Amino acid sequence: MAYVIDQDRCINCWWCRRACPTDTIHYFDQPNRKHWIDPEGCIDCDICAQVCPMDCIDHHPEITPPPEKLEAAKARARAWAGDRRRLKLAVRGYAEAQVLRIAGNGKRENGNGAD
Amino acid sequence: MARQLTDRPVCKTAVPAGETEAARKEPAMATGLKERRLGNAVAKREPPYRSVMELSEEERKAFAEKLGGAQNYNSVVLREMARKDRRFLAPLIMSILSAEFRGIDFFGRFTVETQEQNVPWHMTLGFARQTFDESRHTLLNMKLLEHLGSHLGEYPDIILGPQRGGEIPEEELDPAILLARINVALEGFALTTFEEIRALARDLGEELIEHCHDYNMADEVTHVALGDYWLERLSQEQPWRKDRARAAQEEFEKMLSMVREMAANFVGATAGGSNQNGGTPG
Repeated sequence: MAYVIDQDRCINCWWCRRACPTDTIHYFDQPNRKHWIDPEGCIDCDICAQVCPMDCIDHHPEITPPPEKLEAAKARARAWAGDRRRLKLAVRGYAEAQVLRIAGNGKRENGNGAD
Repeated sequence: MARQLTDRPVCKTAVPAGETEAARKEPAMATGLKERRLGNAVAKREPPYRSVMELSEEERKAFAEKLGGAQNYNSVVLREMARKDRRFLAPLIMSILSAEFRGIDFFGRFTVETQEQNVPWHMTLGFARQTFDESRHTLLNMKLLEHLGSHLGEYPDIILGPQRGGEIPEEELDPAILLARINVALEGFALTTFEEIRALARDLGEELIEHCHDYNMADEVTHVALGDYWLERLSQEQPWRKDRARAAQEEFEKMLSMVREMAANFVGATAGGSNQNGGTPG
């Protein structure tokens, strides 16, 4: 199973490429300046189809990557998900700390004793 | 005399009639473009442009008290700060509004200056429409600022690339390069930003912001499509254009990834090392 980009409708917005957890969507190495999904790295996660603003990525169940390639792609996706989660939590933690710090500064200035 | 709404031949100025095939491969700047560019004329806005770098010591102090410092003045951090406290929605909207002002500046210049390169008339019309879209986005975001109890000028402008149109290096003025960098790469990236702000607004029950940014995002899709179409048209007979555009876009994406990696390192996280394209924390 794999997803396929309809290259006649693709506008090269690269959203799918940014979102792909296995880095299997190619662009710069393509001769026709269009996005292309390498089926050997597609784990059928559907993320690219969901983000595509042109709705031009379709599921093709008849395309099946070799099992060993599929396993390697899944391992890449797991690593990607872990990194992404860590990054998301780090940004959230940083932002929350900043909000508390700013609120604390305001209270001190207003003499509310927030030390 | 009214201009005909027919497509002119693509970029004949760059490859004059009678030139050899070898000359066709070489970029050539249109005659007189340098003189006729809009130059370094200061863009006018009231209140005037005022980037974070241009703040006075006093303004910088006030800005730091409000936002914790310039390092927080970006949509990724502000989104998360706004999730915790709605007061940070205003600077978030201002960071977008600032980019929209730059959009008017850039696409206005692009519409005028690329006519020197004899681009098809329909392309000029397309970019005039895009300039109009950008001005509509500024209006929407200015009203959103008011809705949030803020106003234009409360927060400084963000910095994105060259400050004035005239600061773009001469050799990078080829319309294909600008289309690849700005319309395809930058506007394509903006889709994610608008979608994330729209999703945040939905989570916070801010219907007006959700609606406006959904609207903005729809326009961005058109802008990417417009850029992609004309990039292809301009490159059809001139492969060097396609190659230069590809290189420019690749360079732009690398720069974006680098900035994101630096930001991720700053907040003490791993920068998604397994994904060379740099995923956005959603």
